[in-house]
Amino acid sequence: MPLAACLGTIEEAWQTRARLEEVVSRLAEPEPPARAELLALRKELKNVEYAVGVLSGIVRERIGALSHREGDPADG
Amino acid sequence: MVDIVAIALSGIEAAQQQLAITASNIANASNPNYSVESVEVAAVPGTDGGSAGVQVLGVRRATVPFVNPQINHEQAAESYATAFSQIVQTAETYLAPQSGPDLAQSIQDLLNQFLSLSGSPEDLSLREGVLTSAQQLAQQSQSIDSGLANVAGNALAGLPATVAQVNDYTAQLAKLNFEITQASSQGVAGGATAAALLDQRDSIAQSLAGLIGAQMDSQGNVSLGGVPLVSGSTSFNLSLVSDSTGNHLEVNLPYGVLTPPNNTVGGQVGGILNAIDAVSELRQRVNHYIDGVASAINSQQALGYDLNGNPGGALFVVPSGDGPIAMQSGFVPDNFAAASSPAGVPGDGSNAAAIGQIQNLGGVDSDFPNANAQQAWAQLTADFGLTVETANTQQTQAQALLQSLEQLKTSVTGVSVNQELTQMLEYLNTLQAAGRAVSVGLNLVEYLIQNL
Repeated sequence: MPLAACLGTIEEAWQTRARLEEVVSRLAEPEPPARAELLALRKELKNVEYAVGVLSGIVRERIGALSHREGDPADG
Repeated sequence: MVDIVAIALSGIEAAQQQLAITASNIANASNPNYSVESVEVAAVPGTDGGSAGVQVLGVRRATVPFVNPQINHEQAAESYATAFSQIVQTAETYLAPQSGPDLAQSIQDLLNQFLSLSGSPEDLSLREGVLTSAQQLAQQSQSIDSGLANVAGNALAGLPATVAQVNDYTAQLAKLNFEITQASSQGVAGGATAAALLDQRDSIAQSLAGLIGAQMDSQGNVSLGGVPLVSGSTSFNLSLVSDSTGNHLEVNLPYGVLTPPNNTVGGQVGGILNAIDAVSELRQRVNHYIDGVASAINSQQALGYDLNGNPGGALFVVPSGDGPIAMQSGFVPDNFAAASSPAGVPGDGSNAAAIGQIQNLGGVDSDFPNANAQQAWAQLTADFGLTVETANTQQTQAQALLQSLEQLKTSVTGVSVNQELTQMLEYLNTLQAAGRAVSVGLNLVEYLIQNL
C-alpha cells in the first residue's frame, strides 16, 4: 500500500469507527446487524490495521536511516 | 470497547501530524532560516472522567523573541560597517598610493627643487625640473580630487538599486503579514503554514535590517526612525532624494511624505550615505590643504622677480572654493621668481629659497594652524585613517556578535536530529498501540460474524 493510500485509509478510519459504534449499539436490538454489513466493516478495519502497520514500518525505516546520520550543529 | 478504537484513532491522527512536522523539521535541518516546529496535543476528557483520546491544538514554532531584534540590530550594524568600510578604504588609497609619492611627498619634492634652484637661479635645467615637479603636483591634486569624487559617485550610483531592494522586501513583508493572518485564522490546519511564513518573515526582516537598519516589531510592522515602512499588510514606498543639500530618504505615506532622519538610517544604505559624506569631507579637506600650499607658493612668487626681471606671477591656479589646483596657463621656466629684486643681481636665488622654506612654515593649511605642510598632511591622513580603522573594528565586532547571536538562536530554533529521532520513537509507540486497539475492534467484528 503506498503511503498516500495508507494516510487516506487512516483519515477515513473515523467513519469506520462510527460504523463500528453503530453496529455495536444495534447488537441489543431485535434485528442485529446483517452479515454483509459486518463483513464490509471487517474489511475496513483490516485496511486500517494494515495502514497503521505500513505507517509504523515507514517510521521504523526513517528511524533506522536517521540513526546512521551525522550529528547536526544543534545536537552539540 | 469502541472507545478504545476511538482513542486509538485520535492517537494515530495526532501521530500522523507529528510525523509530518518531524519530516519537515528533518528536511530543514540544514536550513538556517527554519525554526523547529512541534505539534501541541492535549488529552480530550472522557464522559466517565477518563480520557477520550488526544486532540491536536496546533503547530508551535520555536522562537527566541528576545534574540531576533538583537540579531537584526547587529545585522544592521555589520552591514553598515561593511559598506562604510569598503568605501572609505577605497578613498584611503588616494591618500596613500601603493606606488609613487603621496601628495605631501610631491609638495616636499617641489619645495626642495626650489631650494636647489636658489643655489643656481639662472640654471635652466633646474628651472625645467621645478616646472616638472609643479606640473606633477597639480596633476596629482586633480587626480586625487577626481578619484575621491568617483568613489563617492560610484557609491551613490549603487544606492537606487539598494533602495529598490528595500521596497521589494517591505512589499514582501506586507504580503507575508496578510498571509500569516489568513493562515493563523485557520487554526490547526494553518499552523504549519503560519510557522513557515513566520520563518520567511523573520528572514526578510533580517535582510531588511541589513539593508537599511529598519526594525520589525512582533506584529510584522516595520519602521525607520519612527517613519513606517510596513504597517500590517501595507507597505510604503521609500525613495532616495539627492539635491544640493545632500542625499536623504523619503517615505511616501498616504497623508504625505516623511523623511527618516539620516542618523536613523542604518545598514548598508546608512553605511553608504555616511561614507559618501565622509569621502566628500575628505575631498574638501585635501583640496583645502593643497590650496593652502599652492596659495603660499603663489604669494611668495609674487614677492620675487623672474629671470627677465618681471614680478613673479602665479604658478598655480587656486580655485576660490576648495578645489584641485591647476598649472597657470603659459607658465614657463623663466617665470620662476627666484630673485628678490628686479635688478637681476647675478646669483640672487633668495626668493626661491623663501619658497623652498614654505615647507617649514606653520599654518599653510588653516585647518592646522600650528603645523607645517608635512605635519598637516600627517594629521589629515591620520584623522581619516582613524575613521577607516574604527569602521574596520566595528565591522569585526559586529560580525563576531552577529555570529554569536545566530548561534544562540540556532541552539533554540535549530533542528536537533537526535531529538527528532526520540520523538519518532514515541510516534512509533503510539502507532503500534493504536494498531493493537484496531486489532481489538477487528476481533470484535470477527466474533460478531461468527456468532450472529
